[in-house]
Amino acid sequence: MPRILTIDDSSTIRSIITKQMTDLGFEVDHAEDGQQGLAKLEEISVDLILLDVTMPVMDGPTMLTALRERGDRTPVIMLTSESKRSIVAGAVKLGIEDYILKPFKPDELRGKVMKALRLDGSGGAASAGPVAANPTVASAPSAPMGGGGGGGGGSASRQFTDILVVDDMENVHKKLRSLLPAHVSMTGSVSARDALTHCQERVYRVVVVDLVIPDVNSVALMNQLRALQPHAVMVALALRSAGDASDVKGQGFNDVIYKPFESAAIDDFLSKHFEVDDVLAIDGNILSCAAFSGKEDKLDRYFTRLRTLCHESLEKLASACYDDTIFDLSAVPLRNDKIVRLLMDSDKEAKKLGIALRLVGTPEIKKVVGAVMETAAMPFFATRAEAQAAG
Amino acid sequence: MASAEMSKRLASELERIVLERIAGNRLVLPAMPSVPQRCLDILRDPDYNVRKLVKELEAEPVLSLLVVRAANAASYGRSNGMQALDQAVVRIGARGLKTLITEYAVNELFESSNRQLKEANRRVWEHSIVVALLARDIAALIGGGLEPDTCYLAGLLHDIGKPVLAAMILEVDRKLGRATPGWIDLTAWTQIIETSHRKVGVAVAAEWKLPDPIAAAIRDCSDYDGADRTSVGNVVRLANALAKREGYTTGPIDAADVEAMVMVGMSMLGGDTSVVDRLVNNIGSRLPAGPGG
Repeated sequence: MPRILTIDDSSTIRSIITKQMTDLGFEVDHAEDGQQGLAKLEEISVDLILLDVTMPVMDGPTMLTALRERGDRTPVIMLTSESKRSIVAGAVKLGIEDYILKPFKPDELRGKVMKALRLDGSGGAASAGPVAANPTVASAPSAPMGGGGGGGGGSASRQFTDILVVDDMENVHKKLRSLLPAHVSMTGSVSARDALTHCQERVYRVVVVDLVIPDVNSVALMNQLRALQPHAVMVALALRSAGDASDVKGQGFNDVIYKPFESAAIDDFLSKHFEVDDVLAIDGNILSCAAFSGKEDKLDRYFTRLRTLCHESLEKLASACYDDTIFDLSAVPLRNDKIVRLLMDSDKEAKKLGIALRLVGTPEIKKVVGAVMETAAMPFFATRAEAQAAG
Repeated sequence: MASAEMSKRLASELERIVLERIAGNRLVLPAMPSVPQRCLDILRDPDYNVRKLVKELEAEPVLSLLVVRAANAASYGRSNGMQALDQAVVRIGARGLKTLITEYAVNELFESSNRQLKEANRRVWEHSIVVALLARDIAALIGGGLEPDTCYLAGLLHDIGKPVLAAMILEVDRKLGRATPGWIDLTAWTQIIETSHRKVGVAVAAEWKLPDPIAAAIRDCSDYDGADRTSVGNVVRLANALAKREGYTTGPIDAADVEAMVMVGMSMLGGDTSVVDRLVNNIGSRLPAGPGG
C-alpha cells in the first residue's frame, strides 16, 4: 500500500489530504513543518511527499534542499498557495514531480498523486525520480480542460458514443440520424462550446464538424476537439459546391461528407468507419464470416467487403506462418454467384500465398460450391471439427 | 566597433532614454495603419454597417484579398471559388474580422529591410503565433467566459514591444552609424529589448486602442495572477511557457523557470497534460507562413 507524507502547517489541509488519500487506500503520515518532515523521513520511508512552501521553523524549499542533499530522491509534489515563478523554479531545479495550487479540487489532487505514484494506468517508462522536464499533470473529470480522470485522456472512466455531429442546424442532426442504423449511436452539438463539453465527457469514434458554423473557425475547433479525442476520426461536413476534398483534408480533417446527405455516401462513410472487421473474424487459422443483417440492396457491399477482408486476413495468416486455413461460410447468405466469386478470389489468393483452404458450411452452400467447376475440388466439411481433423 | 565598455554605457543610456520617453508619453510609436484602424472602429459597433466596412476594406486590396481568402478557406467553410467581399465579411463575422485585421496590421511591425533585424523579428513572430494559437485553444477548452479570439490576439501581441523597440534601436544605430559603426553589440541590444519591451508593448496597445485584457496580458507577462485564475493574461502566460518549452523561443531560456511556469499554469487553469500535449505536439503543422505571408 503506497505511503504518503503530507507536510503542511495547516491542520485543515493535512486533514483534507489525509481523508482524500485514505479514501484511495493510501497510508498517510504528516508533519507540521520541514524540520518535522525531515525527522519523520529518518524513521519511515514513503512513496510520495506532498509539500507546502510557506511554513514556520523550516519552509518547503529549505526542506526539499536538505532532502536532496542527503540523497533522498522520493517524489515530491508541491502543494501550496505560492505561485511565484522563482520559488517554483527553484523547486523544479531540485526535482519535483508536480505542483498543485491551493485551493485545489479533490480530483486534481487525486489525479496528480495517482500519476506521481504511477497508478493512473498510463504505464510506460516511469521517471526514475523527480524530473524537471515534462510535467506529469493529470487533471480530473470535473476540471474544465480535463479529458477525464487520470492520464492519457482517462477514457476508461467515460462513456463511448460512436459519432458526434457538430452543426448549428438541428435539422442536420436529425437527417443524419435517420440515415444511420439503429446500432450506431450519435450525439449532436449545435455550438463549438457544446462540442468541447461533450468531448470532455465522452469518447467518440468519429467527430463530424460542419465547416460553416457562424463565428467559428472550424479548423481551429477540429484541432481542439482532436486534442480531447486523440483516437477519433475527424470528418468535415461541407456543401457539395465546396469542390474537391483535398483542401479540407490538407487542413487536418481525415475525411469529408457533403450536404445534403446522400444514402450511398453515408453507406460509404459507415463502411469506412464502423464496419472494419464486422463481416469477417479471425481466430487462429479459422476465418469465419459474420451473418448479413442489412437490406437486400446492401448485399453487394457485404460480399465486396468480405472479399477485401479475406485477402487481408490470408496475408496476415501467411505472415504468421500458417500454411492452411479453415474458411467457415456457415453464416453467409445463400447467393450462388456471389459465394462462387468469393471462393474463387480467395482460393486464388490463398494459392499465391501458399495456404491450403478448407471450407466449412451448410449442405446448401456445399451444393453451390460443388456445382461449379472452379470450386468443386475445394475440400468442404460440415463442421470445423471435421475440417480440423482433416488437416 | 565600439569597445565593450562603451557599448554597455551606450546601451544603458539608450534604455534610460526609452523608459523616460515612455514615462513622459513622448515615445514615437508606430501608428496602426489607417485602413485597419478605420475597419476596427467600424467593427466596434455590434450592429456595424457591412457596406461601410466593405468600402473601407476595398481601399486596401491586400487586406481585401486576405478577407476573401480566409472566407474561402476550410476554416470558415469553403465555397465555390472567389466570393464577393461583402459575402466574405458576413461569412467570417465580426470576431473573426477583428482578429484578421489586427493580425494584418501587426504583421507590418515585423517587416524590416535590415537582415539581422528581419531574422530576429521572424523568431519573435513565430513565437508569437505559437503563443496565439495555444492561447486560443486553451481558452476554448477552459470556456467559462474566456473569449478564444481575444486570447489569440493577446498571445499574438504579448511581445509586440520587441520588434517596435528593435526598430527604434536600429534607427538610432543608423543615425550614429556613420560616425560610430556597430556602436552597440547584440548582447546589449538583446538586454535592452528584454528589459524594456513590455512597457513599449503596453504603449503600443494604448496607441492602437486595443481592448484592456490584451493590454493587461502584454503588461503582466511575468507572474501569474492568482486573484483571477482564468484570466486572459494567465492563459497567455501558460501558452508562452508551453511555446518556449516546445522550442519556439526568441532567445536562451531557463528550463527550470519555463517548467515552473507550465506547472503553475496547468494547475491554475485546470490542465490535463495529455490534452495540452496533443495541442502542443501538432503546433508546428499549424503555423502559417511568415510575417506578411
